[in-house]
Amino acid sequence: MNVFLHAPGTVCAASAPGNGGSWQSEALLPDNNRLPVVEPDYTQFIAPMQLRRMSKAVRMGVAAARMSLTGAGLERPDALSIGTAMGCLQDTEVFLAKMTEQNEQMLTPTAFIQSTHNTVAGQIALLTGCNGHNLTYVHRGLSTEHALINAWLYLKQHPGETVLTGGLDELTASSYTLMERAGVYADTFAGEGAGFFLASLEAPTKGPALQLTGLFQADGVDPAEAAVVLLQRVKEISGTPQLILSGQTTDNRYDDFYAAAEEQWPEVPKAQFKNGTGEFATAVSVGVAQLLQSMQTGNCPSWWNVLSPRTGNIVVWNNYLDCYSCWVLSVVDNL
Amino acid sequence: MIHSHAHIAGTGLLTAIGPDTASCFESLRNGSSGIGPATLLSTHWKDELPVGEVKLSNEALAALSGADPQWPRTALLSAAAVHEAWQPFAEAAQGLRCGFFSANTVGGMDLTESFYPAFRQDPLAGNNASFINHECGAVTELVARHFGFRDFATTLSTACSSSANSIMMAAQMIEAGLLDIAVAGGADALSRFTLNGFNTLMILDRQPCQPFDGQRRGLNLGEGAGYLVLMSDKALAQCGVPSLAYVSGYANANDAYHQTASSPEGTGNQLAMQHALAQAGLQSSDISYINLHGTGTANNDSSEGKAIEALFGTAVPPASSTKAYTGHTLGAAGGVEAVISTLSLTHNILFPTLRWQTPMEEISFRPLTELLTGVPVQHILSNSFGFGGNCSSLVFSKS
Repeated sequence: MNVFLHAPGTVCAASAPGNGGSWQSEALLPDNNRLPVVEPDYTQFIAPMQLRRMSKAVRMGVAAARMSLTGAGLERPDALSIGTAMGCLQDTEVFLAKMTEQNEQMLTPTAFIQSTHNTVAGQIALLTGCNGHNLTYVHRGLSTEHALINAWLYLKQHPGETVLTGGLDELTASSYTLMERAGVYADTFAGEGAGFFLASLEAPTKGPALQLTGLFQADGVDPAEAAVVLLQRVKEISGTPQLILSGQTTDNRYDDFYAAAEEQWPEVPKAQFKNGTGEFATAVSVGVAQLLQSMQTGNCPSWWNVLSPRTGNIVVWNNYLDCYSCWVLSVVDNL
Repeated sequence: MIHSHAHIAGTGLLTAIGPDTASCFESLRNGSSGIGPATLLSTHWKDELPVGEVKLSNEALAALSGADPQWPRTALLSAAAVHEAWQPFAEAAQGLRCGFFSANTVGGMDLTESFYPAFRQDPLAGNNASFINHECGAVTELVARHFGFRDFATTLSTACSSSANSIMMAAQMIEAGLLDIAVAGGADALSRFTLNGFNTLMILDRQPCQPFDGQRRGLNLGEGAGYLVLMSDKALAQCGVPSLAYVSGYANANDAYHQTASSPEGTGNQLAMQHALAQAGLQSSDISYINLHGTGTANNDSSEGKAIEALFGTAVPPASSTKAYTGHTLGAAGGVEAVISTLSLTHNILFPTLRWQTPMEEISFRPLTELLTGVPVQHILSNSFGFGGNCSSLVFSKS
């Protein structure tokens, strides 16, 4: 595998620093155990008439997509490959609620139309005029990774092209309540967000990029076993990384997974990106996008407690419940 | 550079016209449609909106695969079809890298929508089991773990093209040498959510549908599951089975026109078909048969028809929509129709468009309306076009 990731775009709890700017210095504090996104002034990305009709998930996705494309000087990507575990929750619930209250009668289509999982990807295609390949992955905590695998498979067959990829998930009052009941947020806090970037087989001519040389996963095994499997794969292709982007949270059920990385690479700084995103299935997409933003500005978010990487390898070491992934990246610095 | 074609070695199918591939084949040959009133789905519309319902309760579905009847219905449908597809190979495939590529649009919504009213009044109401498998990926996970697919499992959701896209990705991974075997397709169950959603769009037919008919009134929703067992050359050899057919081409394109309607010329449809043919290294004249998306809506059939004429000119091969038999099975449609296409290729048989009566004004060709047997079927183009402008076409070729 060999893909270049570049041109980040995010809608998340921490606003990306503007040109030459820096990240907000205070740590982000969850409120009532949730960390909602800070929504940007969307009018810079979306016309007001269109914005009016968009749900939060669609707004986040379209804005993050536009940020990414603008950063690369592109009007549209050649293809799209997006991951979302839960899809458009707000609209799903609106339609369900009406259906319940009105006993399946006198219903209107808008919420239903917007509830389908590929709505965000479809809207991005519509608004950017992109007729290309466009898939949406909905596989729990590996949705971002599978969207990326698909992007790579597509690029292998269309080498000169550029794919917009990444992940998003939204948090609603009901989704929080239900996931809390299901034990998803044991000892950690919930988040939401969209993290997009471009993928291509050639490095961009300007701006920083990350070269993805390995993407490994484990699923449905215990944390220690996942770590063994993934460490073996990483060591086949990479020496000691300079930085680990870690998905560790205060949820101690997965400590063994992170302890194994600590044991393997004790001297390597670990940036716990979920301190700034909260926990959700596609949080890793925001972490990686923020890594690219850090490389753009030369400094990392304060809550990562690490220096911005200029060279070398970076390992993303992440879990969401029993979905584990490990990305092997190397820094391409075109500044 | 491809390591191996993705060969079709087996199929699993479960629809309103039969609980497995053989019985569905029988119904297809006999012209027996599965469209009628809903008897299992509890809905205000049960006497008004005909559907292609699988006449098996959740308990009966579970018994087909040994699954837990408490699972969402989509998972039960999926498991039953995967059981049929995978059973013949499970043992022989030991040591090979096997992936599971599934798709659905409705996830565990059948359970969630029944849970929701009480939850709305009281956030602590109801059973966790009713919603913990709501997400699309959870449905896949239940089935993947049940059958022991440990190497790779994924879920796609792109509305009506979903399971065509599963098959595409699975074929790519086999061709790239990343997997030896893939069970690929999808499933979807009827739900009040979907039935009502489509009803608000006013594209449901209150009678059994008539795809590609000049007087067509809309679609009938269906449910079911369809999966292909795809294998590399190496896997075929190890399992000691012949190639029934192979995936020779695939493409996904986006109409980028409207969230739920196709552009009048069917831009996305055309691009998908064109690119799939190019991928297969075929000319339009090589296609023996088109399995149409053919839902029966005014919009789809018109756009799809025009897109076909744009590509095939006056030389449109026999084309039919099998949705008149099964209804529109949404996330399962691509997989269901891939299995039906495999039957056509292996038996040299083409199935009719049931209930067709009058030609469409906007196109020159008519769909196939009678059963054709003993025809040389070499290459089949199968279309699946969905909401969000998502258009997929697959090409299957005789081995």
